[in-house]
Amino acid sequence: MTKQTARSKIEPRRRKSRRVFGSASLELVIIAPFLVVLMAAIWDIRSYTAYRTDVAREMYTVAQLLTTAGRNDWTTDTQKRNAATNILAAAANRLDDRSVGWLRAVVVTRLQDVVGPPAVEATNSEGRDCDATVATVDDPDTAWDDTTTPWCEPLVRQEIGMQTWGDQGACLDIPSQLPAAGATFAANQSVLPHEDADPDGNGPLTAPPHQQWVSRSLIADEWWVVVEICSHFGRDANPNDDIDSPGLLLPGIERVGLGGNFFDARLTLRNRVAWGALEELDECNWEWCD
Amino acid sequence: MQLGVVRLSLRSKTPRPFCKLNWYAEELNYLREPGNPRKEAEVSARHIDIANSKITTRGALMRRTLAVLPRAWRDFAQCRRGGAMLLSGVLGMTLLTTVGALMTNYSWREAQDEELRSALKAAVSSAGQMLSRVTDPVVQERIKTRVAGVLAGLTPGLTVGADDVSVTYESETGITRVSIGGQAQYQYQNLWGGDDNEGTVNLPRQTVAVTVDINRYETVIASDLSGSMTARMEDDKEDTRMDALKSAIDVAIEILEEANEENTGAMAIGLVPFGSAVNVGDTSGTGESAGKRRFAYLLGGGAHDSTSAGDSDHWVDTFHYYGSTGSSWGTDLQTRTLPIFETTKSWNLRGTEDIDLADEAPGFATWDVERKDFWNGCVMARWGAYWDEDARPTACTSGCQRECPDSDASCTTCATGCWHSDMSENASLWPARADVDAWTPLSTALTAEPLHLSDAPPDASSPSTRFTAYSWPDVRVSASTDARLHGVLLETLQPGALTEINEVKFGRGGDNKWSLENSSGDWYCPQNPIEPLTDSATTLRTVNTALGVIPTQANAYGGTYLHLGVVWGLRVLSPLWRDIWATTDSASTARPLTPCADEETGTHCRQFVKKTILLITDGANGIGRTSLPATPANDNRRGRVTRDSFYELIGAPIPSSANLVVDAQKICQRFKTMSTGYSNAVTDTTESAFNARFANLDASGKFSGASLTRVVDAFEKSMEVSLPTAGRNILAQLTPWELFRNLGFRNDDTNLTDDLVLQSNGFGFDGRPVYDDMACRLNSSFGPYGRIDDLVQVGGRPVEDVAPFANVSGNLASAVRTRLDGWLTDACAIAKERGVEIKVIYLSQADPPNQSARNAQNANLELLRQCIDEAGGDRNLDVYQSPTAANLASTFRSIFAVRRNLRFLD
Repeated sequence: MTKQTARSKIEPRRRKSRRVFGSASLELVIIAPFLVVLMAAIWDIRSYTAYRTDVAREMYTVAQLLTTAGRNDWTTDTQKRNAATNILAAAANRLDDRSVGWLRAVVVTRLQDVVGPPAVEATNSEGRDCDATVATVDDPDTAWDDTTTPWCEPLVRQEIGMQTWGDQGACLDIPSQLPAAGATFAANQSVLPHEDADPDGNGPLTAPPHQQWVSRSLIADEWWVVVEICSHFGRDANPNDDIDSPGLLLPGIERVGLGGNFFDARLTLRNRVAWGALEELDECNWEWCD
Repeated sequence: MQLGVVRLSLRSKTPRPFCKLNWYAEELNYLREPGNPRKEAEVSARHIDIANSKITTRGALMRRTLAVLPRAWRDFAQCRRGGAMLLSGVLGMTLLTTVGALMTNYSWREAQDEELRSALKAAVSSAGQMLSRVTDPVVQERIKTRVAGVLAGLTPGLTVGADDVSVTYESETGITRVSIGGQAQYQYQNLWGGDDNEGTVNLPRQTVAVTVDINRYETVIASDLSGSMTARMEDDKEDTRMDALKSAIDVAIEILEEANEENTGAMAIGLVPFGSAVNVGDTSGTGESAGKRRFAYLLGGGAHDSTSAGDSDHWVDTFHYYGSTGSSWGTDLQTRTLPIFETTKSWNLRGTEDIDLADEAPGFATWDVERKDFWNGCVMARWGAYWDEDARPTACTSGCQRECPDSDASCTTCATGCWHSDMSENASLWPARADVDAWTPLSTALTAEPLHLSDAPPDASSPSTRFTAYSWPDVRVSASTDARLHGVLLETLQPGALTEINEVKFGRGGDNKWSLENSSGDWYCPQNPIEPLTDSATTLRTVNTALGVIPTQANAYGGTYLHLGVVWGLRVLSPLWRDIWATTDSASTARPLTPCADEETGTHCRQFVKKTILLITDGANGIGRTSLPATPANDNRRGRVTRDSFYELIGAPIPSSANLVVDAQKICQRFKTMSTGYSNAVTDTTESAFNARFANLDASGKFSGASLTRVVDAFEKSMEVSLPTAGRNILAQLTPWELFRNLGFRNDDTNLTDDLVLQSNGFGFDGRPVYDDMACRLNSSFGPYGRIDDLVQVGGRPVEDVAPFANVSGNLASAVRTRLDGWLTDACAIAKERGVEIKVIYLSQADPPNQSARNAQNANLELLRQCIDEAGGDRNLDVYQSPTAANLASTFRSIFAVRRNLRFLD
């Protein structure tokens, strides 16, 4: 009984003290959302970075696979194209979970003129002798045999295929810059995405000259698989599609009216890569499958 | 409350030590000072029993912290000194922001490095074929230039020169390392604050290690050379399928030349021409030759170098040697064995000079080569399951001679090397498992499989592992002889019948030419022998030029046993057969190579060996046409026997060729009309049923008395001879089945039928009759397994008690094809076990003329695809249809293209 009495004197004070929360609690309540948002933002940026890396890695992988695929033993053009298309479709399928966009791949080699022979015959050890009969180049310089600055227009030898996934979103307005099959890259149109880079800030037309781009000095039978991609995620990409965009915060915000408008979380990646083939063109199927 | 070693109890008046920023530090100091005078008081105040604890470490502190967390939270919630918490929050935000910024910048930089690394790989790949010649300093410089150019083109903000790229090559491993680094113009982008690291930066060195693996290709072109290969290709009506094939092979040879010019031994090609048999070697010429060696290896069980006369390993079966010379064929049949000749001795099985066999085979004086009634290159299959103990052959362990009597269980009456027919086996005499292990490391996959489909090599001590010589038929035969025997059969069952149809005469022409006197190879035996793997373009061109359908004569058809292409293709590729093929490439490397498995290294095997069988066919499995178009069309002798009865047999329509509309079918119909007994007898498939058609046989079922008189009369009437006593005596030893259907072979006298062709016996046959009733529904088929219904024999004894095509009735072709189809898929499965890839080219029609043809073509394709399934390939990609010559050449170009494998090692 005595103990009960003693406890009864204590109990009210303890219960009261428990109901009193300190200012630290309130501060934490105030700070916590900011911390959460900050962490989410950091995480989102990390996710965005990872996604961008994934896309880049995916492109290189696709280019490599397509290059290898071109060496495989398929009987007919249809079978080969199907296999190449499957590679593109598989890549598109992986990206489809997180974005909308398109993926295009072509085989690029040296220019051929309208009658067929390579513009540049690989007759010497350098593989740099040019055929003076070619008249379709953008620079009518007759100094084709000038081995110091040999160049030729790259040609899209094969259209491997194009895959699209989802609504195109912003990618709808970003068409592929790769020429169609049979067409050449125009003057000053780069094959590699940054070979027209401008380190000195003087503009792409001045440095380096396109005659010196690496894509203008392909060996006669050299061929590249060039992959170009546009990947877009964001609220406007496909409102009806539950696209799992990278990150924790942005995907949620972008779907919430005002928040979505306020936080414009759209992201559009556009990139291009190239993977060179180990074989000469006449050793691969691309030569005779068309 | 008990938590580990910490016991905690809270009291209401407990201070709030956790309402301090530094409670953690205090607690740590406290715990690290066991002698601290505060300790006991604190312990007492908090009722924390740590008297016996060993809390002196951070780990212990963590345990303690966990234990007091509830208390800590309560203290924190009631703490009124919020300024500290606010300070904590601000500092925390700042700290978190800073860390977050650094983290995102770091990850962003990592991403850029990752992309830079991917770009470097792509740039390296763009060096292309130069990577195969990286040892050349000039090429190295070109690689640097190319890598630098492509890398800069792929990477935003990077300007890198050739000097920033280094290329090193490790000759021992074949690994090339390409690095970039050093001072380079590059722009690292920051996401959070600060200027981008633009400009000249120390680019962290990025290195990729890469190898260019040069495959070593061993490819066998296993081509169907049956008569249908004379059909025209669809895009070039001037060229036959054979012409197109030869042109395509030329493409492969050109590729081989280029490949080997760049890398010695990169490609070797073998050829396996097949129909319903394969030819293992050319035995022509008087000198030692590879073909002769193979002849000896395969038939003599490997005793090819033996010079000891009478060595039992020198003997093979199924030969029928007409020993005496003279103008008459078929006389003096002496033996069924053939000695294996010393390979160093001068002999030519396709020449004209007799061969002195005094050393090799004392029983033979000379071998009359000119008669050509012997084997010319083809072998028949062997029988039994390699590892199936029940099927292992008998082999006496010692003191044995061939044909050891069954009654002599221990072979005490023999000299050396005989065996029993009961197949009880000394397992040690089979090919040693160690030999099979030469297929390292695939030996574990070598489980039970049919010996006749495997690449197990022949073994000198194991008769069933040998191949037996093939000849078609195994005795000399003539169409007239066979037809005459039918006349005898008809007259025997229906006396007077021949008188009634005396307008039917049986000409003596139409020899079936079972050996091709002016050609090579036996009937149905390809004239083109197997060409083992070689990297010599000259050799391959010579072989390709000589390639022809089987045989070269017109109107001949060889049949197609598709599995032979796969089986012998595998043997050509098998390291187990290295000694038998005895070939080396231009680098003096013995072929075929032993491939290394993944991750396997060592001198006993080679890396990147790709073995492929390219099976080429234009049709389905099928037995060949067993009869010729008989006598020439201008032969006015009636009673020609033609192949149309064969079509009747297999249920196929008779080709609408005037030359094929012959009398044979009329003869047959006439026979049937005249004698129901004959009509029924020719379709009987059992001895008892057949013999029951004959009356007045004796108790043992032989001709006797009235039945003997009747058959003698039939012979005399049909053959227009007067049968001497010797002939009568022979007939008296036979049952009707033995005479008409079983060729007179009897267990106790296998030479009895031989007597039918002896002139002294007077039967008048100009060739030995065979079980080849072409006229009236019965037929025989020949091939690597011998004659249908024949047992495969070794040493004069059947290896098994069943024939490969035993009990065939009804539609012969259908039954045989079913068996052959099964063998094909089984062979393809074995190839998979050996790691040998199979590709198939089907010379099809682009647009079959009718539904029936489409169905047949689809069925053929399905069989070939099943083979690919069994071989582990892709049924949609590894079966090529080539209706045109252009497509065939392109397909060859694709299949034989040299692939280099660019392999990044990280």
